[in-house]
Formats: sequence, structure tokens, C-alpha cells
Amino acid sequence: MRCGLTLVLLLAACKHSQPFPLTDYGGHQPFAPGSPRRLTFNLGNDYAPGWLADGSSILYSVVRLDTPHFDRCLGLLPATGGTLSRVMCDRAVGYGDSVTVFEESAAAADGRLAYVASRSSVGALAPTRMALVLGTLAIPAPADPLQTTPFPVPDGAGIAQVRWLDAGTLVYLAERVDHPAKCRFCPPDTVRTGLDVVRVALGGATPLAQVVPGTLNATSVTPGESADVVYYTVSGESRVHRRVLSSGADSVVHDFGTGMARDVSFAAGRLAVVVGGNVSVTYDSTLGHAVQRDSGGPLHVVDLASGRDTILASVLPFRRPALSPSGKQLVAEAVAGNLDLWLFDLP
Amino acid sequence: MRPRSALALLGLVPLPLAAQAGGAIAGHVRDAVTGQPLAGVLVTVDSGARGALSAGGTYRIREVHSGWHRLQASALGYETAVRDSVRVESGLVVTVDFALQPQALTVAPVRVEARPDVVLDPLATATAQRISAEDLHQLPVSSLAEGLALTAGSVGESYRGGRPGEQAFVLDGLGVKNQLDASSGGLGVRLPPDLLEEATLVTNGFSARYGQAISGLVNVVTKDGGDRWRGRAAYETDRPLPDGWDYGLDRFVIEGDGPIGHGVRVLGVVDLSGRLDADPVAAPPSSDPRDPRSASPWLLPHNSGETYDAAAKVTIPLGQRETVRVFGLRSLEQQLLYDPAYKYDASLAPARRVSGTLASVSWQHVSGPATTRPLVLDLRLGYFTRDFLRGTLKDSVRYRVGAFTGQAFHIAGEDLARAQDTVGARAPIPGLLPPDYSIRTPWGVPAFFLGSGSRGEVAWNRLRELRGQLDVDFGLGPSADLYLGGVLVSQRVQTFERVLGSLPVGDTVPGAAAASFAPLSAAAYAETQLRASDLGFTFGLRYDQFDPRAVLQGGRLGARRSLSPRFAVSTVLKGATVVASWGRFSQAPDFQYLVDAAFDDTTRTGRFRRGNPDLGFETATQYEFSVRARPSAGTVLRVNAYVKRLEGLIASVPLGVNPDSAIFGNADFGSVRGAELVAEREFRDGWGVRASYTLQSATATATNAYQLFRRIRVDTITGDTIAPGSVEFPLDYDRRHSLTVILQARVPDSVRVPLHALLAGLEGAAIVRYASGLPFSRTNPAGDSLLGLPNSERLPSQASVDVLLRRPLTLFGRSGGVYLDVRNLLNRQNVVAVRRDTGEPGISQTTLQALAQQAYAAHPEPIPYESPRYRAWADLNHNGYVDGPAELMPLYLAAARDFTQPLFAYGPPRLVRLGMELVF
Repeated sequence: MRCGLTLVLLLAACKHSQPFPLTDYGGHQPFAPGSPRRLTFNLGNDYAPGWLADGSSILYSVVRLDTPHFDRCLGLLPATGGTLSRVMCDRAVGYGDSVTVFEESAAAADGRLAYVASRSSVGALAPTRMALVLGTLAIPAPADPLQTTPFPVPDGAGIAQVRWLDAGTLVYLAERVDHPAKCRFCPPDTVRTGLDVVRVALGGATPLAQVVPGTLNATSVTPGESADVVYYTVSGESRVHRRVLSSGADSVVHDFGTGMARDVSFAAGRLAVVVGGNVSVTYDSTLGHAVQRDSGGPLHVVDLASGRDTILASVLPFRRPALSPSGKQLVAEAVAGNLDLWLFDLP
Repeated sequence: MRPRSALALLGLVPLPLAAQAGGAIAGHVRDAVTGQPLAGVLVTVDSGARGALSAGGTYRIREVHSGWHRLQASALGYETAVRDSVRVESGLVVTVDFALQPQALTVAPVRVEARPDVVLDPLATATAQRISAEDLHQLPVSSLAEGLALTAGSVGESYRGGRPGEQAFVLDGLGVKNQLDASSGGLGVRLPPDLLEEATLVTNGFSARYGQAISGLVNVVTKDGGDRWRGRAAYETDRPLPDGWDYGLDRFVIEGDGPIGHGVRVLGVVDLSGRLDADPVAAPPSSDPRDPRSASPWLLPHNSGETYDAAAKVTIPLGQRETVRVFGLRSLEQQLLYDPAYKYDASLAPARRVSGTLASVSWQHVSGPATTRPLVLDLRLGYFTRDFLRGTLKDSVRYRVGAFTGQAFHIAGEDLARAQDTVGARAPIPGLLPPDYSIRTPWGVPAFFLGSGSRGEVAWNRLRELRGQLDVDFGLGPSADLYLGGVLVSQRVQTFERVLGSLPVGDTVPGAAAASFAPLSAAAYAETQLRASDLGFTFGLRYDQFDPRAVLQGGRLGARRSLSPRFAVSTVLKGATVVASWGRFSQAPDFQYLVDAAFDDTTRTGRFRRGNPDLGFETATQYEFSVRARPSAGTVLRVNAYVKRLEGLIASVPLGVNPDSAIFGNADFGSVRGAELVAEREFRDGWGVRASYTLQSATATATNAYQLFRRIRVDTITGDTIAPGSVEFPLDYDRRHSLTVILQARVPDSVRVPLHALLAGLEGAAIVRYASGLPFSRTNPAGDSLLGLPNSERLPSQASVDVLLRRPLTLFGRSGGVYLDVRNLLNRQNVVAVRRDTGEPGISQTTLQALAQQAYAAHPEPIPYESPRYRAWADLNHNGYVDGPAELMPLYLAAARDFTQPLFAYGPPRLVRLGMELVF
């Protein structure tokens, strides 16, 4: 009996063979070294980048040319560049006759993910559904959105630059979205013009969205050094404002003198701002209000402590810079035909 | 108990009344001195509870449970005679004659082994093929299904040309059938071989007691617990074997039985089996070194399976005349299903869970041994449930030992399915994501292989059945028996099916299909068997009724009825036993044909198949003629010839003008003709051999939903369109030739050979099989038109050699053994399926190019550097893109070649298992 048991145990101690292993084809190296270096080569647009709280990855929107209607998803790219580690899409991507869009995303330190999701009919200009959504990096598409249209801002139709102020508060830029055509037979363009900064408190049963007073015509917003502070820019101005949300105290932290400042980003005592370049704010008589057209411009990095303004050298115009949490790197969308992401190493 | 030869059992044996849980003992009683027949001799079985009085020098004891028994004959003025080791087999009559010595002499009881002559018994009319637990032990087979597959005329679980499910399963006299989807799903319960006393496949003339089958009857008799405690433990594995031979097998078996007092005996069996590749194939490895299967082609991922079977039986004697048996069997099968589309994202491929429970109580009353009109009453109650679930696993599988997970699979959407919530299932099913093209393939390109989400299928069905059955056996004297009885079956069928469950129901996504109904079936039968010297007659009549109790728009449909007469005659002519039989058999349709179903398809057209609750019985009428002879004392020759006419076969027929919709109807008819030849040299002097050859032709008309072939004629005089002509084509299981040779040998203990200690007592068995190919239909490359006639092409022939070597051992006073079981010893790559467009396992180069070109045309977009699809080795000009036909097309071609590998076109490879067992 004992001998038999020993034999069974000996047999059972052997390990079984396993099915074939899979190869990881991903990489963490940029295509070419240097600074700035190109991170994305997608022939569709890659835009609205942001960083994970630990600075390990860049979260951005990617237009998928491999879907029938060029849906837009969220991509997660290693901070060093290389291969997308994840692409997060609407569950209906590639199915049916609608275009689905995930964009303007922001990841919290605890893994929660806020972004704007919309769906529109193929060929339609305006989405049939749009919502501010709170999910997680693990499950990006929850069943219930945080907030659907209409927005708390009059004329507001768009949400941009969603950012976490703290674990229970979001801030975003409410936008007016227009689709003007340059001529009678020209294809319509989508023009987004900033309206107001909006703060969303998530603590209650129903999220509470409120316009931050005095931020009319804001063109960008970014969380500051604390949850009580935001930096923002205003249409037509070359200045960057600092607002203390609890007191309402407003101050100008930097004035570039000339050129319109926009797309402000803050991290580690630094501001990254697009100043000047190919941007215009004009009154559209057809629409009956001013619209902002922005094809990017030079990137400035301002050290708030010293006030030193550094212009990042590049022949390309950029939009939507995002400073890494350490302030040592900056990613921005380069406007060169289509939008691609580039990474700058900062001193 | 002396081990017997499997060969002696596996042969075609005649059954006077097939498919009973017990057999009969009969014989002559005479005075040993004068030779005169004796009347009034009491012949009893075992403890004396069962028996019969002799009349006119003969006696007959009916319904004796299968197994070994002790027989005693006693009469005043005579010495009691005892016969040990009388082997009774279900449905057979074992002949035991007594010659009683007058009282004056004191003679020790005579002990002999009595066995029926299964060849020459002229009172047998049906043809049966028998397998016992010992056969399963001695041959390279490990389940009842594998054992039955050795029988002549079987193709897997298809018998005599019928499709799977056309047979009935009878367990200890009680019918059990997966009436929901017998043709495509299993029974749901598996009988552990250690529970088996014997099983018999009856392919003709089975008793009118049994219905619900048109191809055959599998009659299983389980063991009763013994009168002393005993048990067996066994473990099988392929762990120590090298890669390529190790498919991750582990099997544990433990059995024990014995008395627990007051004559009550119990028996319990647990049989657990798991394999990391539950469905291994002998497909060749990929020739592309970038394909991971080229390096390790043996185990398929996400293809593991585990089975858990447990059974218990309690035998309770109630006085001298009555016995109650309580039986319970629970089976669970869980399997991950490899899907080539999910080769690189295997966890998203579907999984399946099938569970079954069978519980029964039987009460048997037997008249006393002194009665002149023996009576046996059997009342049986059975509850059977089968639960089937398939879909996407909620959580990934975690193995504990080998392929054993130790926990039940849970499927996304299972709750909706069980609630049959078709409204709630209109929304996307929680936990399911739609699939996207995989990014993990070596080829990168968005084609063929899926990832990100599953196919989104949720399929569930459950069949529950409560069955009551009464059987009455009357003895009408020594030469006649009468059998009467009936059965009432109440069933409950529930189904649910949702496809593309990750998406909301809409124009391109069909809604969930669900059904719930409670069919009621009833049957009654009468049968008599008459014996006159060497002549035997059996007359039987069976009435079946089936009512789906489904409600349609026009109201409730009524019951369908079927009357099935059966007749057989047998006699002995010039030393050979000749049997002629005729019978009509019927079975209610699978319930799956009564319910609606939704289908997924690649173009997402939302195909829908409508069920038809108005289906009727499928029937068969069979004529058979058989001859059995013993050319010499140790050899047997048997020939069966049969013709079977099939009517009302279920076929898929068009529904309206929608080319994607179909409904079922009793539309087809056909015929099966065949002959079976069995030659056997019984196991003697350490060896034996049995060869069986089957020649068969099974054809039927071929109505189908898509009008692949239809011969519509127009009457030249009236101009009327005449319905399709009665053109018959080969049935799917029309195997023309099959040959099975079973060899068995044993090295004597006393043999003088080198390595005597190792070889003495060594037992060996080999099964050699050859079978001609099954038919299939060729189509054009698009697959939408037939080339030639339906099933006019043939698969290649198949062959295999299976070997079992067993070395009995005694360890610390316990007997046991070790064994080596090898299936497909020569590792032959048997082709079991082919592509209909090529007629071969693989795809043609032209089709391969077309597939790749089509995939490239769908996704010609460049693959950028940051994409998970980017493959640096494919970026020939190193510009950060895999783009253009020069770089993309080789990837699409390789992906197409990978995807179309004909894995499941090949049968199992060489499978080796090492086992050890201990008997205590």
C-alpha cells in the first residue's frame, strides 16, 4: 500500500506540459531617440494627451483608422514611447452605423478614469449622445455616465480638458462647438471655442457641476498645486490666471506680453503654455458670436518660482501640452497635417 | 471469481428479450440414477429468496439480477445439489441442468461454473453486443462509450447508419434519454465503469418494453453492493511522459461496496478525470517558425476538460420476495473550447458546462419459488435532469491539479439565461465585450483572429424528467412468458439562446430566443415469448404517445401516436442457429427541433431558425436475418443481414422566402442495408482473437433549408410541379466498410522466458481498426453551391492500433497492477473532416490568396510604430510603418495560413497513459 502510494505521489509530482507560450511584441522604446521625439505615427489624429498620476504612461485619444467609421478611443502609451499598452474603446466600436468617440480623458491616482464619450450617426456633425463618464482604467466604459447634456453652461455643447482636482472633484472647460463652412460648398469644420471653467463635485449621490465664476471665455484650465487652485487662460489674452477656488481670489501668474496664451498645463511648479502661433479669435457673422481657430503654436515652459520662460525649440506648431507629474517631460500634439504626439525632455 | 476473456463477451450474442436488468436461469432436473425427469424440485438462487419448482423435469427462474450467483436444487428423497459461479447476464437464459442423487448417498455439493452458450441458444431472437466492466478493464478502452464503439455497425455513437441520439439508454431497466438534443449533445450523465455490471448494445428486435430509439438500445446493468467489503482505487496519468506525449491527463477512481447490516448493501464510486487538452488532435505543426504552435504543436490552449462522476447505490431486501434499490448518479463536465479565432486570446473563447443528475428508486416483487405461475413486478421511479450552459467565462480559470479547477464554471449572462429573461437580454449582457481583431498574433494585422471580447454567445438549456414505469412478467408455464407494462414520462424543457450578447438587440443583432414547455409521453407494451423445443417466437406490440403540449397561435397541438409491432423467430438448422426478426421502432423528435433558435454568423444577418412543435415521430422498420454457428469448440461465426427503412426523419426545410430562415419538418426518408460478420476464436490457452466486419449502405433523401439540391420535375401532361423525387443520398454516418480486430493474450505464470519476473502474468490486448471514409458534400469555393450530389464524396479511410499492457502485482498482500495504455500507437493522422471546398483538410493556395487579399482590402491602412500590431521585422523600409502591399500582404497571407490550419480535421494523436490500481 505504502509503495503504491509512493508511486502515485511520484507520478503526481511530475509537471504537465503546457500549451505554447505567446510572444510579447510590444516595446518601450521610441522609434528614434532625441528630444523632442515623435511618439505616435498614426495617420489618424492622436490628441488631447495627459499623464497617469504616477507618470508611467500617457493617456490620449486616438483615431482608429482600422474601424469602419474611424472611431476614437483612448490609448495608453508608455512614458518612454513604444507600443500602446492599451486601447480603450466604446463597446460598440466597429459595429452598427454610428461613430463612437472617447476623448478628453483624465486618470486619477486611484485608477478612476474620467472622459467624454459621444456617439453620432455616420456623416453627422453633432453627436446624438454625449456624456461625461466616470469609469476606471480596468473597466473604462461603465453603464451610467456622470453627466449628459444639457450642460450647466449656456450655449455649452462640449467638454474639454477634463482634469482631476482631487479624488472627489473634476474640473473641465465648457466649450461651444460650431461647424462652420468656409464657403457654400466647402465641407464644414468643427471649431471649439472655450466658454467657462466648470467644477464637478462627485461626492453626492448626483454629481454637482458648477461654473467657476469669472472664468468667462476661458480657453484652457489646469489643476494647480492644490485642489483649491486652478490655472486658466482667457481668449485673446497673453496672460495665465491663477484662481483660488475657495476664496475666488484671482491673480495673473505670468504674462507673455504678446501672443495669445492657451492650453495651459501645470506640474511641479512649472507651467507649459502655447503662446501665439496660428490662432485667431474672430466674430462669425453667420454664427453670431466669436469663434477661436487654433492650428497650434510654439511651446513655452515657465518656471513659476523664477518666472523664467523657456521656448521649446521645434519647427512644428503644437497644441495641448501636458507636463508630466515630475515636470521633467512634456507631451504635446503636433499640428502637421494630422495630429501626432511628441515628447520633450525638460531640463 | 475467475477473470474472463473480454473476447467472449464482446461478441454478438443473442437475446431472447433484450434490455432487461436481469436474465433467467432454466434447465432440466432428473434423477441421477434412473434419468427420469423430476417434478417438484425446488431450485433456488443465492439465499433462497428466488427460485422455481420444476414441472415436467424443467424449471425456469426469471429476472435474476445480472452477475454471479449460487444455485441450489433440493427435493425430498434426494441429496441437495449446489452449483456455484452461475453467471447470469441481462436478457440471457443460462442453462443449468441438475441430476439429483437419491438420499442414501452423501455427496459433497457439486461446484461448477455455468455460463450460457451465447452462440447456439435457439431461444434468442434479438442481436446484442455485450461489454462488461471486465472488458473495460482488459481492453484499451476507458469508458462505456469507447467500449460500445467497438461493436460491429457502430460509428462512434452512431449505430447502423443512424445519427447519434437515435439510440435509447436504459439503466437498470429504466429509460434515460436526453430528449432535448440527443443528436448533438450527450446524455449529461456518465456511468463510471466501476459501477458497471455489463452493458449491451441491441441493434435489432429489442423488446417492446423499450422505445424511443430507431437505431439501437444501450442497456446498462449496474452492480449491487457485495456481501463483503471490497474496493478499488486507481490513478492514471501521462505526467512522466515527454512533451508531445503528455496531454495533461489525470484520472482518479475509487470504488467501494459492501454490506451495512440487515442485508442492506451499498456501493459508491467516484471517478474524476481531467486533461489539459481534452480534445487532442494529430494535426501537423505549422511550417511557419513564427507560429508558436510550430515549436510546441501538441497541446492546444484553452482546451482543457474535467469530468466529475459520482454514483451510489443501495440495495435493500424487504423480506424474501421484495427488493428496493435506490440509485443516484451525478455527473459534471466542464470544458474550455478551443476556438481557432481565439488562438492568441484563448481566454475569450467559449466554455461549456454540462451537468446531469439521475436518481431512481425501484421496487421489485418476485413470487415465491414454489409457485407454478411465477410473477415478477418491477415498479420504477426515476428523476433525470440535464443542464447545459455555454458561453464566455466570467472569470479566468485557475487550475489546482492538472486540468482540475475544483470549481464550477460561471458564464456571463448565466442569470439572464436561467431566468429566460428575453427582455432584459435585449441590452448588452454585463461582462461581455464585443470582439475586435487580436493584437497578439505574430502577424499583427487586423484579420481572422479575435481578441478584446468574446463572440458573446450565451446558450443554456435544461431538461427535467420524471418517469414512472411498471413492468410485469408472468410465467405462463415452462414454455411461455408474458410481459406487460407501461411508462409515463413528464418532462420540462427550458431553453435560452442569445448571440452577439455584447451588443444591444437591433437590426443586425437578433433577440434572445427562449422556450419553455412541458411535454408528456406515455407508452404501453405487451410481449410474449413462446418456446417449443428448438423453436422460439417473440411477439410484441408497443404503443407510444407523445404530446409536446406546446401552444401555438392556433391553439394547443394534440398528441402524436405510434404503434410498433415486433416479431422474431429462431430455430436451429443443421447445427446453426437461425433467427429472423421484424420490428417497427419509433422515437419522438429531439425537442431542440421544436424550439426557436438564434444564430450568430460572420455577416451578422441575424439568422433565425424557427422551431416546429408540430413534429411527429421518426420511425424505422427493420428486417433482420442472422445465422450463428460454432465451426469448432472454440470458434464462433456469426452473420447478420438487415434492411432498415427510415421514415419521417427530421430535416431543415425552408421557411417562407427568407433564404436565411428555416423550420424543421418530418421531411426525409431513407434506408439502411447492411451485413455484419463476426469470427471469433475464444480466449483459450492464453490467447484469443475476434474480428468483425461490417458492410453497410445508409441513404436518405436530402431536404434542406437552402435548397442545395432539389429535383423538381414538371409533369409533361398536366404541367404541375412535382415535389422532389425520392432520390436518396448517403447519410452522414454511412460508413461502408469497417473492420475491428481484437487480440488478447496473457503470458502464463509458469512460462520460462528471459525476464520471467517481469513478463510472467503479463496481460496484453490490442485493437486494430480500419474504417472506410464517411461521406461529405463538396461545394464551390464560396460554399454556397454544391458540386456534385449531396454526400457524394468520401473522406479518407481511418485506421488505428490501440494497445494495453497490464502487469498484475501484489503489494503488501493487496492485489493490484500497473498498466500502459496506448491509443493510436502508430500516431496515424486520421482525417476525420475536410473542407467542403477543397475536399482536403487544408485550404487551397487560391483560396488562401483570396482570403488574404480580402482581408488586406478590408484593412489596407498602414500600421504605425506605436500600434500593438506593428511588427518591426515586417517594416522593411524602417519608416515607422508597416504599410503597402509589399509589407502588409505577407502578413495577411501568413495570418490566413495560420487561421486556416486544419486542426480539427484530424483525429486524436498517439495517447499514452500510465496507470496503477489497487484492489482492497
